[in-house]
Amino acid sequence: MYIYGENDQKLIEQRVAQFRGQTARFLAGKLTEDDFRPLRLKNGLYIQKHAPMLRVAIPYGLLSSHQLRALANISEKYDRGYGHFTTRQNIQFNWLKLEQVPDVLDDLSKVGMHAIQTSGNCIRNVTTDEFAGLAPDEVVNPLVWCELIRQWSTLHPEFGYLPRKFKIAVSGADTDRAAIRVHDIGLLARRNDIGEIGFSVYVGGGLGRTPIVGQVIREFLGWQDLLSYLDAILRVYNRFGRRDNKYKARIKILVKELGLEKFTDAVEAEWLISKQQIRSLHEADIESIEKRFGKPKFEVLSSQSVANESSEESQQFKNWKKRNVFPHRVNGYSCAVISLKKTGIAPGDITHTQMVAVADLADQFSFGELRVTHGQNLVLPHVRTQDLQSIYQVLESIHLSTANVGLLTDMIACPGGDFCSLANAVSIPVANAIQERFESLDYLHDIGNLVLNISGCMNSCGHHHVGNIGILGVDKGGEEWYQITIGGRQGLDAAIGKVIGKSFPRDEVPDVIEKLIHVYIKSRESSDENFAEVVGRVGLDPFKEEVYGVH
Amino acid sequence: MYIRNREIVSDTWRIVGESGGALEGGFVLLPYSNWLDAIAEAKLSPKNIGAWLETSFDSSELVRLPDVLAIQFDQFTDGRGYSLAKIIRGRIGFKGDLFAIGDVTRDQLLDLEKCGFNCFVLREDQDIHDSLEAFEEFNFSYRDSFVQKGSELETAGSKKLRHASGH
Repeated sequence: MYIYGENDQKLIEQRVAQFRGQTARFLAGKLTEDDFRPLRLKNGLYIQKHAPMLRVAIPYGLLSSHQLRALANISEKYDRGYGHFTTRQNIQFNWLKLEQVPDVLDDLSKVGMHAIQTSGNCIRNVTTDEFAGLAPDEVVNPLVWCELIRQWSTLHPEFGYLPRKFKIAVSGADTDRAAIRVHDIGLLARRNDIGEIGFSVYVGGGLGRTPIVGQVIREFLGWQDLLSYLDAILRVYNRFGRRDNKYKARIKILVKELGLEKFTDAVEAEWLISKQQIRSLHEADIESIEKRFGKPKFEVLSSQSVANESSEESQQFKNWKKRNVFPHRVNGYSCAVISLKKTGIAPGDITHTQMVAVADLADQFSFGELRVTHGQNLVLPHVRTQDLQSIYQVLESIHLSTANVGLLTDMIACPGGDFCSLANAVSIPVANAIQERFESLDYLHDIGNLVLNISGCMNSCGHHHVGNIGILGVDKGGEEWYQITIGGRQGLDAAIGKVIGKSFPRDEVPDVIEKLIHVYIKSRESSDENFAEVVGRVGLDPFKEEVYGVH
Repeated sequence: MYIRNREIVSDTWRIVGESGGALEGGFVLLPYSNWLDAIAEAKLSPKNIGAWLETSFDSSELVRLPDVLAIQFDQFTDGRGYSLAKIIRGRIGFKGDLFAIGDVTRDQLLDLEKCGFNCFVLREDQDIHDSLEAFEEFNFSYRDSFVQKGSELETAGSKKLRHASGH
């Protein structure tokens, strides 16, 4: 965990005071709705269908047990007793009262939390790999760099009114678990031939109406220059990004319109200037941040202390271990993912009593630390492998033991038309209908890893474009219909899914998904060949034939 | 009235649009191309005449610098003006008064100042006295620790901070 210093703390407290003043002026009629909107959005506050929605920042998905308890307390005190974790590792509260928001922010600031830049046309909360710092395949720990980017971007005076929102993700492992190629800037932390740390810089990725996979503009940027280079990219975007049409305002459109080469030249030219304005980073900068993160005091455990699979283990626990437990780089430790994708519950939702119980688990078994994943789940990152069974038993008692991480039912879905005023269609009921259809766990395990993502509209908050199967809500003459894409994938070889054909009414969606899965199972050469690979090999036609019939 | 280095000044700078207007009397801000013409024709003392730029202005066209420059915000959400100010201060090295004019409200003042503006003509509905409080809303910025020493113009704010912290 990054522990706040005096200045970090002072800044968020002053931000609360500033926002309290802005809200008071709005409520007193001294600030118009048009003036207030950009100010409240920059502080994570939307006016939604039913009530204001507050998006609270969880920088790079790192959360402490006492922060989770504070979130539980807020959901009980000001909301309806639950919270919703998002694909950008944040949490949202859907039922607040505007006049209470400054008090909520006040409560948050007491545990080092805030809602700064979780919305609006500014640099958003930086995201990363949920297994950062512990994954066996990690080359560079991205957390320090994420924190540095958080500091650099927080209340950045020059980039508070960009043409559109701006999202940065960092990964430092062989497998990209942060979807860096669908971000405005994706940074792949790596080492060069002589072991120095640097970044491959991807720019112009994003989903939304025009899904584009980010491209490399610099193969290796030395770590010392990270901030001046980011400044240069942002300044080029701030000056030349389109402001006449909000659907063409993301940096991906600027990169597309200028061409990669011209865009890169502009950034490099700007960098010559920004290097004189932003100083190089020193070892001391990095060390002082590393120190604030601290290190869990791992015990020295031999591999033998890992309990062997015994006959006393229930099949349910074995399933959970198989799906939800991931390797840890320290001997005798594991990483346990808590699925928030139980059938009948909105993906990413968690009640306040569950939050408290999970916080207790973190204290007891995981050094008080938690992670929020890009897939809307939680993680107990550093647990002793021998404690897994005890953890499982607690999770079972609080209905959080769903053994489906990475499976079809572990789907990503936006809040959709039930909550969001932008949505064309609902997402959560569709997700639930599919989960019900595939409830048989054996069948799910047979299917294996599969990413199914649902968005309620073209804004693509549910990342449907990069789902192996993607579902998009569309409006057809006032009715909710759903368009299906297949073959999308995230990771360093990210690809955008292709539309299979005309859209479907809501009640037909589970049938369609079942048919797509059927073709996949029939066509795959082994259980190792995943859905996107099969689509790549056999193309769309077999899937279309199964779904629409032969023409 | 406007704000200059965090203090209220009672002078008025008259802003003349592209369609023109009387140049005489008090202080005048002209569109940049008009200012170039006026200077060439020596119509007014350079002390009383400055130039304003649109946020989309291409800084490479700044062939000659007036004593006073302004950037006109049609909307306060137009972030280009912030980057333009940074370029005018940092790259071009402009040391004179830099005004933010147009849709300027108290909630932008601190960021504008950090980008190099030191003078602010507020939007008509703004209370200039209350607006001064905006400069006091934050006394810490991560930004300041990443800035190359000596690269930025000292603002009234940074002087005050340095003074307060005893350096």
